[in-house]
Amino acid sequence: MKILGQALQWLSDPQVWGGVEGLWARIGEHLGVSALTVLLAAVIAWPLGVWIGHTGRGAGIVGALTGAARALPTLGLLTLFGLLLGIGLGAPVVALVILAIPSLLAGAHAGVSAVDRTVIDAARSIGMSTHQLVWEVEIPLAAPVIVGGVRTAMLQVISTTTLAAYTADVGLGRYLFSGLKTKNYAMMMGASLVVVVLTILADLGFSVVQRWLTRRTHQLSRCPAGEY
Amino acid sequence: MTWVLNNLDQIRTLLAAHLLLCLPPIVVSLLAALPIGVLTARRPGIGRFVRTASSTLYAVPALPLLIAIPLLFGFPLRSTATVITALSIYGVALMVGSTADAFSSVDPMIRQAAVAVGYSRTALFWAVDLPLAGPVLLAGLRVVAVSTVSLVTIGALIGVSGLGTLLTDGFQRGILAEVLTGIAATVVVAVVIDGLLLAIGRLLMPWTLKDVAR
Amino acid sequence: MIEFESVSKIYPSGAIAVEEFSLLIPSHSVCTLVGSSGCGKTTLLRMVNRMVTPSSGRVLIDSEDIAAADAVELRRSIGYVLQSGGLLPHRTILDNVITVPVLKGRKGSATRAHGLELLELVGLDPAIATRYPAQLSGGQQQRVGVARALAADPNILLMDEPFGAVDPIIRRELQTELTRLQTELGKTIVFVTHDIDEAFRLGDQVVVLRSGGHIAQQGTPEEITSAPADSFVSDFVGADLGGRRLHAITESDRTVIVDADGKPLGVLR
Repeated sequence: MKILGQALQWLSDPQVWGGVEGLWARIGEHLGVSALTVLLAAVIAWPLGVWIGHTGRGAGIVGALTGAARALPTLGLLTLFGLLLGIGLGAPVVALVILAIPSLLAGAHAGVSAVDRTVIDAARSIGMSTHQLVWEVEIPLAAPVIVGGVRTAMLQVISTTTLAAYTADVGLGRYLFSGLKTKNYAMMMGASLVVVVLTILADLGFSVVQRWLTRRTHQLSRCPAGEY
Repeated sequence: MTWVLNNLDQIRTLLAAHLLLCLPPIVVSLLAALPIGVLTARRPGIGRFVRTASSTLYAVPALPLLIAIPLLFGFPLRSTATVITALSIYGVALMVGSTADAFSSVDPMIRQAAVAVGYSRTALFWAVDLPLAGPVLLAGLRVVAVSTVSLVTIGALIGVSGLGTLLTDGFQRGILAEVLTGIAATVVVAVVIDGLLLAIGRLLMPWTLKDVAR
Repeated sequence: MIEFESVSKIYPSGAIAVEEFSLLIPSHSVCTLVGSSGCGKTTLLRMVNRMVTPSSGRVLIDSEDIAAADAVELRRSIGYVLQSGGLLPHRTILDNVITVPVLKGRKGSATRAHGLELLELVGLDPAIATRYPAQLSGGQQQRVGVARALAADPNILLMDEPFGAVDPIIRRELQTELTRLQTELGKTIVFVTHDIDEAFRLGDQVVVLRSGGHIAQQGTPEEITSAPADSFVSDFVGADLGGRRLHAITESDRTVIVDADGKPLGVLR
């Protein structure tokens, strides 16, 4: 347990936090890369997921993809793209985008396909076009589940971005890998604590958003439910 | 392909090491999550706490955990014990939720009927609850098994050999074939273990077979 | 013989399921408890095998207070049939039938042979023994439920709306079958139903319950149809038979139920 004390000592050093290579900069970089990859993945996954959920076609693909993604070693993707694209930022971003797609796809698909059939029928019967149906009924009602997918993807990506430092000079993983080389255990432990706190905070943040959205959607759907 | 053929021995050794690393956590997850999961399903108060705790634990990134465990518990950094402990923690965290779901999914009508015909508390658990929770337990265990197999590769980053060694070694030496072999071998191991679990499930739970259902 | 001695069941929430209920059910007879949902009939039934413990009062079987018996042993000595069979979905039909003998430690081939005989006794083809409950129709599952209840050769059978989930034609068939079995076996049967028709068809003694387990009227089907105790009973009896005023006519050796126009509707046993 002595190591915890040393780690806290490392963390209490203001020099560690400041500067272009400091902890704050690394945290910003880490979250920035994570957010960027989730955004890129969402651009690909959401339209596809909503389309599959809306039409009901290709639902099997979603299950197969999430299953396959679980078996695919993240380190494998990182090293593969590291070799193919070199040691810049590109390789980890591509690998992380691939990792984030299944959760986002599953969230969008599950959310949209779970929308109550009677609500959809009612929306059609009052004359909504397909476009209006998707944007004004299905997506708002699916929002909590879609955000659930973002939560899973974001956590996965924040987590995996620590590994990205293996192939690129990016994020909080830097401290872990350079600590491994120099046997600087206090730094490794300290950085580990930062990553853990970061993921837990992100998880909490998303759960709050998700709960708020769920409550809002329930209120939305409660009124019309009685009228059908 | 030539790289694979030239390095068959190394692949075989790493494969064996990989299996030795991933099998114990899978077994531990099942056994340890069982009592916790049952408690979680039976006591909603404790349940909510356990579920939050386990999902938070699962959110902890792998590499920091692999580094924190030896430093906190005093294991040597590059030891199989570290990897097995870390993966067991993930496995249990993931499995607790499935186990609780599995036991909550048992139809209370059937439990009541079993009590009414004279099952004792112990018999009720072993002969009714456990087998009926079986399908959901199996589904959870399959997820744990597949993700454990894939997570073991990260052990290579702290120097614990397994199929992940093909990834780090291939990357450092710039051998694309080696990295591809590492990815493919890991996926194959995951698929095979998943298939085995599925087969065991069919054997133990014949009533769940598709052609049995009317 | 089953005796209820002023039993009550009051839940911690204050809800009264049964209040001061007393009844004597003679051996080898069928007693039907009939009433709408929430009248406490199932609670009463479940007191007999201690699935429910009375808040006050006693239940006696052959003059012995069941509170003194071991609950698990007691349940194994009483046959229990419930709606939708309550079969274990992960056990084959035969294993379901011989559940209780196996629980008692009798696993041999004699038990299995007895199980097959029971399947035949309840009118099922023993060839279905190796199937699973999900592969059977609702009516067949119900028969298996009866066979399971009979497997340990209990003196008492408790039946909780056993035919409630099957369609009317099958229900009729199962009722006839139960009557036949009862002539053969002579068990003490407590049968809970909300269907007054079924209660009359099967019961030697019919107990009409209003909410809180209060007895509105008890007696033979003839007594109740010919002289309903009050408007609650006549409504209950009348409503289920299509709102027609009914009465019983005894002709030589049989009792015929006729409606207000004198049209015969059926024969009571």
